[in-house]
Amino acid sequence: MYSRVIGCLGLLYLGGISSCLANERASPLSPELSAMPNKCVALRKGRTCFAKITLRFRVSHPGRYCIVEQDKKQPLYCESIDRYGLFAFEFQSEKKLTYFLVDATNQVNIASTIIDVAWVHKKTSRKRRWRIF
Amino acid sequence: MMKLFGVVAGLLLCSFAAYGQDNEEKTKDSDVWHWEVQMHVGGVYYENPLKHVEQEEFIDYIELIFSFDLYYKGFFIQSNRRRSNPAEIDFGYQITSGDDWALDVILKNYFEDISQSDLDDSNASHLSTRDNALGTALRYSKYFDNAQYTVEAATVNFDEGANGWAVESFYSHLIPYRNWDIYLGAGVTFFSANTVNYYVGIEERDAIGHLFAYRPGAAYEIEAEAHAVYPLAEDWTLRLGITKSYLSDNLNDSPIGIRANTTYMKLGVSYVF
Repeated sequence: MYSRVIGCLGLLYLGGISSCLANERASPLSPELSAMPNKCVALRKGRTCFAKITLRFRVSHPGRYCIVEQDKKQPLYCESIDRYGLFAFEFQSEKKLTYFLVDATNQVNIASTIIDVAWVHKKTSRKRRWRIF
Repeated sequence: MMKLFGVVAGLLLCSFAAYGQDNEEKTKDSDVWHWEVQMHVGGVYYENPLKHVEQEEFIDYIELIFSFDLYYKGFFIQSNRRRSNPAEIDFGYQITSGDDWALDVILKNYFEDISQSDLDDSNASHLSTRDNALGTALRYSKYFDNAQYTVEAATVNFDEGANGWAVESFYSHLIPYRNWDIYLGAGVTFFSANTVNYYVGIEERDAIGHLFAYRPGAAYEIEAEAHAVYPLAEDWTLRLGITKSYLSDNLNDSPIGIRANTTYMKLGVSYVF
């Protein structure tokens, strides 16, 4: 995206504003999937981390698309979309998970994003009897 | 100060004797340094057990505390994370332990000092100040899945050689709710007559006016507490808590002026280094 903006600015400098915008509309956008927030913080390792996550996605062609969680067969969400979509859900995991944007017509993963899990108290190598953490 | 060195020396001797009995597995774990430092910043509302001592200045309502947790070869400096007040720190050594229990010897403070300023506020300026009650205790801890019970039997040293004793027991239950850690706790502490008489008693020679001679004898304190921690970011937590303490009648009947019950509330954030 950044490179496209730079490219457009370059054409604008040369006076080609209409051709720049036309080119931008014509070029197919690559599929994207992003998570906001993309990290869930729990107090300590081993605790299930809870977070409300919004997945934003963009596709290059109208069609039916699904969001699928790593190691799961059933999609979390499916919808027919033209270009952009949003999906909010409750993240619950002890470890980081990858989410895929899947083209439902051919079952191909076209984009992915990772939701990381972090801990405040990271030093958990000790045995419980020392009960520091 | 010599008293403190004596207690620490005793602790070290005791620990070296016990250390040789530890099994190999435990030695490997204890050979590694374990530490964590936290900075706690926030607001605090605190009722001093002395009736006439109040929070007056803005700064009295601000809390800035560093807490340290350090373990090495069985020795530890330990902030009590299950308690609302992070300033409560124990020094000690783990004598022995099982899968769900531990026996430690610890050094901790069982009674806050009473300063000249506190006495002035209590219209008892002529009384002598009271030192902190530094206790050496044997602590037994029993761990359950989401709970912990501790009982401590301590000899309490104060007033240049005078001794008393205290027995403290506390049960803490952890309720994990989503990303929150919620601790509910309750405990009772018994203080010997010597200890109580030293802190809130008045000798015949010091009795004047409303400050009549008073020797309350053994007493107890009951505490109930709710405390919660929430992760705000990788290094920050939100902390809030409330502790209610109830003192036995013979304590709050002291002419020095003792509150029958006190409240400690706090709301703040902690940075984990």
